[in-house]
Amino acid sequence: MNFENLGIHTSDLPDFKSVDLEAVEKRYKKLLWLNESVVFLVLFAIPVVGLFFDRIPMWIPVTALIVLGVIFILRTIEIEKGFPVRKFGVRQHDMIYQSGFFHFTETVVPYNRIQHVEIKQGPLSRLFSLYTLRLYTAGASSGDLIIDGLDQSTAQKLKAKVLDKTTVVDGKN
Amino acid sequence: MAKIDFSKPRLQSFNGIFLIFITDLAKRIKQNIYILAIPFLQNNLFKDYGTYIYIGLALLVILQFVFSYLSYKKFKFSIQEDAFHLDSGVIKLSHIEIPFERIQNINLQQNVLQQLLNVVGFEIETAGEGTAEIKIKALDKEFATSLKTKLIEEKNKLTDEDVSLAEDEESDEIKDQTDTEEEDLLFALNFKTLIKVGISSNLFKGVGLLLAFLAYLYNFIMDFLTAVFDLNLEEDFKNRIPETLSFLSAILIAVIILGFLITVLSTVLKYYNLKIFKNQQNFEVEYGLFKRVNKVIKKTKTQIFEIRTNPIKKLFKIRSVFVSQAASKQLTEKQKIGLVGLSKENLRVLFKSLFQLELNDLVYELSRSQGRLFFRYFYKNLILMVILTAVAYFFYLNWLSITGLVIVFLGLTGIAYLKVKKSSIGVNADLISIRKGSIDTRFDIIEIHKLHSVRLSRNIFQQYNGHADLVVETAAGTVNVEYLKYDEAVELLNYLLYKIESTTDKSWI
Repeated sequence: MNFENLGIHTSDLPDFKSVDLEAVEKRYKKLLWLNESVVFLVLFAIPVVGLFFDRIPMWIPVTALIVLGVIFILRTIEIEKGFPVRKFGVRQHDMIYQSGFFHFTETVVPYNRIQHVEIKQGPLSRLFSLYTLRLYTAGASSGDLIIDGLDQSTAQKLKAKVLDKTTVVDGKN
Repeated sequence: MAKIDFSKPRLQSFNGIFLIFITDLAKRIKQNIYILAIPFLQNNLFKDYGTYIYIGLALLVILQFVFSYLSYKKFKFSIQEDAFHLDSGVIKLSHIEIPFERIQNINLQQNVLQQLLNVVGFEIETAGEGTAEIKIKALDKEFATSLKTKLIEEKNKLTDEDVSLAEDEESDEIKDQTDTEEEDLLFALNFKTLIKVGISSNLFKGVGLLLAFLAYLYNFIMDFLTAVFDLNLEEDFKNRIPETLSFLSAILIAVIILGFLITVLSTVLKYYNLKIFKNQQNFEVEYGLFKRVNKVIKKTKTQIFEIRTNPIKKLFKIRSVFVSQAASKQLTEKQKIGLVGLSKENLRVLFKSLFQLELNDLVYELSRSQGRLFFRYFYKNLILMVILTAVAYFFYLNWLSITGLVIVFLGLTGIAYLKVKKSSIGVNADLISIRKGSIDTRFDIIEIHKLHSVRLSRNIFQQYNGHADLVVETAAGTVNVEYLKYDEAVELLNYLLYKIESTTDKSWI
């Protein structure tokens, strides 16, 4: 593809791949693991308890354990391998966020399309004093950009940046 | 049109009492439908307590009527200087106020009941997050139209005032336009074309509907017979079907023919007397036989413009357009505004007035989905086939079901091939056009400045073989293109971002 008819050379366009991205806080991985282990402890507990009941045929809890084990391994890989690529970047006109190992997504949201910004903190992330930044766009929530695992100052800075940009862009037009 | 004083709080049309009563009653019955099953369980219930039951039911109905009457009496609306006001509620009172500038659309519609009682339903849509929408069930037709005109006038006055601060001349012009705001009929669907639309619609919709209905009926009858006569028809029935192939194929053909008829009928009912009016920059669409729907397509609110064709439609030289407007949720098929049976010229005019562009002169830079996409569909089909085969293995395995499975598999594979072939995205200076479909073809046309977030998505296989899915978000939902070459997808993303960010057009919601 060469975009001859578009009046612009694509090579002249800023490439979103060339931006230096920043990683989220390291301790966010601990939070992920904590979350993961609580969920899987409960999940593993159910078939293990099942093993001690004579009425339930042996193969049911065993299969459940094997399936759970496979899912657990996949989740482990996802967290360990996926964490290093969990990154965000700030450009002049938009914000970039990438994440995922098995399913790698790179999302870009232009500032002039953001409706409002929210900083949130769940009970678990309060334990680690981590914050979540959510950029709301119009329409369905699938278009929103959610960045987990930021420390307070980064979250505030990003929020300020986005708000500043949205108003500046509005003012220009 | 006589001047009506809108500032005084009003009730709905008198017939509204009955409408509210009947709809409330229907709701109650629907909620308590399972109670109807009780008499079947205990045969002598009616014998013993018949009169009490009837008196109780009558009391409940009367109570419901009183309640409906009160809610009619308490439902008052008016237009005050700055907003539309609505008071409602019998026990829990509520007061809703909608400032004129927040009114987005006003829809009028009539279902069968409303037609019988000669009233119209009145809906005000706002841009907010859903709940502030106002529904008035019953208004006189004339009153509803003048209320609508009044509200639109008020809204326009507001926007005019905004403009007039800056440019006086222009605002006069706009005022002139609003004064002469007569709707001109752009398109009316005649019955012959409507039949064509019905014939060319996807017949599987009708077949699916029919199958669901048959399954429901079958269950119902079986339950009934088993409960009342203590027969086990099911066993009997099952023993007889299998051997007779001719019986099966007869049923199949009957289902397809009936499904076809149902599709045609439901399309005709839905789109009966479709009319498109143009008023200033917006369109008003009206359709339906029993349920008359009136919707407004706003140029600024339009997000996705879908053109759908298929081989039969091409034969008839018609195409359908489905317009998605901005909403706070992902739009379902039902919420899209359907304009069916358009000729090429109709489409051109419609497109031109919405986008100010000649549809037929558009040139796109095309990027195609790569062949590897076929495997994605193939694996999905494979999983489906494994499940089907397992089902067949446990219930009914012979040469007949195997042939059936093979045919289904070949059909799915063919469709997957066509899907890959058709999938592509085209971009030009203003628009993106995403092509999808298998036997049918659809183009999703979106103005680039209406996108509000773009995404590249790659699963682990795509990361290794250099492909990416491009996903774009609009205020009416998500649209994606699968398996583009990674480099191409990155270029596309850069281009789209550049376009979104450099646009000065503010009308992007």
